[in-house]
Amino acid sequence: PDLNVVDQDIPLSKNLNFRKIHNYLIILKKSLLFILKLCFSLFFPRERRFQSRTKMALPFCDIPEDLQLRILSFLSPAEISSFACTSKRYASLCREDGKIWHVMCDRKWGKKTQIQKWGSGRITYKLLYKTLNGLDNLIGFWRLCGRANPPDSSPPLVFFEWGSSFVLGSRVLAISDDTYQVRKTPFLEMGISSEGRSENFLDLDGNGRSGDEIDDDWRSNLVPVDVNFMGNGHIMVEENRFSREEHKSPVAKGSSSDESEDATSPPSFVVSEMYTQLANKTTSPRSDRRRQRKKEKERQARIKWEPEHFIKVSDFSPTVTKPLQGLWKGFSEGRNMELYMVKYDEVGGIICKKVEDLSLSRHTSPVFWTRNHAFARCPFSAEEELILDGRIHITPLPVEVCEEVVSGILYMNSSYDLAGRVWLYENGTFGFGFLRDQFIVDLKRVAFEDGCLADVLEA
Amino acid sequence: AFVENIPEIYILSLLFFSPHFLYLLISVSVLTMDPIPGLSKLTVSSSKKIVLNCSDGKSFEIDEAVARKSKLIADMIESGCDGPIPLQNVTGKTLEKVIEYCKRHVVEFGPSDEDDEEAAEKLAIWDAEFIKVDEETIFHLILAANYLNIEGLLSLTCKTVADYIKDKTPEEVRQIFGIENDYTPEEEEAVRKENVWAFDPNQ
Repeated sequence: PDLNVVDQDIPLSKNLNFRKIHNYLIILKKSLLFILKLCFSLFFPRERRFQSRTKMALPFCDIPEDLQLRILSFLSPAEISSFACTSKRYASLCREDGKIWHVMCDRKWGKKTQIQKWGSGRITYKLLYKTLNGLDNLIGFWRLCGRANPPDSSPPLVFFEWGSSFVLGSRVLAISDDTYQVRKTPFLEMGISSEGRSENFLDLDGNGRSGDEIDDDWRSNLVPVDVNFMGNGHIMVEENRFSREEHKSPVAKGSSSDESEDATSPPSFVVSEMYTQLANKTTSPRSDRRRQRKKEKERQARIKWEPEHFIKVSDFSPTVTKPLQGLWKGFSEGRNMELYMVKYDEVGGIICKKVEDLSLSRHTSPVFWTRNHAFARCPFSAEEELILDGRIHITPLPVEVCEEVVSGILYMNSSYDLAGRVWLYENGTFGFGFLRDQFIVDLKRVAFEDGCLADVLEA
Repeated sequence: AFVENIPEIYILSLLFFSPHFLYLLISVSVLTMDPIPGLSKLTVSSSKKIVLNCSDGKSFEIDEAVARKSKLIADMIESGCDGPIPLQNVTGKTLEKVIEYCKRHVVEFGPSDEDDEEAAEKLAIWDAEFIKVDEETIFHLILAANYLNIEGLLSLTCKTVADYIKDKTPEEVRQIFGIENDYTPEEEEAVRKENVWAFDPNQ
């Protein structure tokens, strides 16, 4: 058939016969395929991954030592022990206290406390790790359980936090009836001596340290105590009446250097140190001994400080699913600031109790409780609006206008006395009130999310 | 016959392919140059650009804010380095990954969200996906993050490597890290006992 030369102005000439169309279609197909391949290789470069790749080990030895230690700092001691068995080189790396244990302490507690200051910097990091690990459990809020010293003076809530080279326990007190602020009075300081023994002191005057330097005057007012972990969130703080004279002897420093040396030091060195200690004890300066004996007498003359028991507050902050949980503070009808604790139990109920001596609290009734912790949400019925309307918010003076928007309503247990409502506010706090009166008690959180005390009065 | 048909084919191709092909070309070029689609619209493009040259000749141009995630580069900028910054210790492939990390971690600290927790969670999820690469890449990322002094990336990569050897026996650790066992079986047993005691939490 004739293939006419088609005029350029007429792109689709009617002269195209079937065969031509077929050719064009083939070219079209080829071009499309080519473009598709191009797109695939650009969009899915990871196609290459599906090919078999040789599993290349991560060359750990090619990493510089400080980075190796950094990687190891994320591991627990048990895992380091496994790693140390891999080769002679890494076994010796893991034996160096100043390296491996230092980075492990730094990783876990470097931001919370000054790890190089503990024990005046004289203890091994390995011992420090063990000490800090034990003290970690103390951080948070604890409730007094049992008689206080002297009775009626100790507030029921204490708060443990990290200090620069110690853990500080403070009593949390409401200040007065016109502010949400709390006073934090330090009473217990837990640290470690340069010899590696745990040193816990009770600060009866509540003055705390002035800065980081240990004042001799302040020191003499301290009562040494033992903090015993009774297991399961229970500690007992007990006075330690028998001060050990060896602590005060300056030659005791010899023993700390013993501890920091590695296990390969010859035993004869230890024995000779012991003899030196005993010999030097008899020649310690007389004025020192006189001072010590005087303090000892003073201490024994003082009334014995009764041991105190504390139980840990397991959840002191609300969570998304448990918005009422935790420690709260608010003003009740008595116009004093009270501390409340709200707990969720296993069957989906909520109980709110005042924070007080646990041995007494068994006999006091809860502030409010409910069996069902589901909130009623907007829009609220007209009856609910009526209940909420006209209520007086009990606030500290000067009057702080409460402009919180209610986001949820919870029904309290419907016995006559305790019937009422809990109003959850949008900002996460809540208030509660009873049907028998026209008040709302607005509560604020005692602690922030990060565990710090809120609204602390600056000394 | 084919020669005669060329003009027709040419015109036909133009007609059939030009709109589609142009579209594909544009979208491909936009997407390949922009790892996160749409991100370029969010970032303010009026900030200064820094050019980074890596060891294998590749060049990357990034915003100054992104470049400043690296303390090394930030110091260089402070001390007045204006031109392209040479990074002899980093290859192009690694630097690309590093830049991806820096870009994501810069955008997040712009407008402060109400839901800081939620944003932090999303970032953590992105980090977990980002670090799902083979061991060789992580190795190069650690060295690059160390050289460039990028704290967040260094912590992320080191933690990932630590997770490799969590709960593994010494032999498994040797395989992962390519460590040669220079202990005899008796020595190995003795060392194992010594280490169990040395790292005992109750000691």
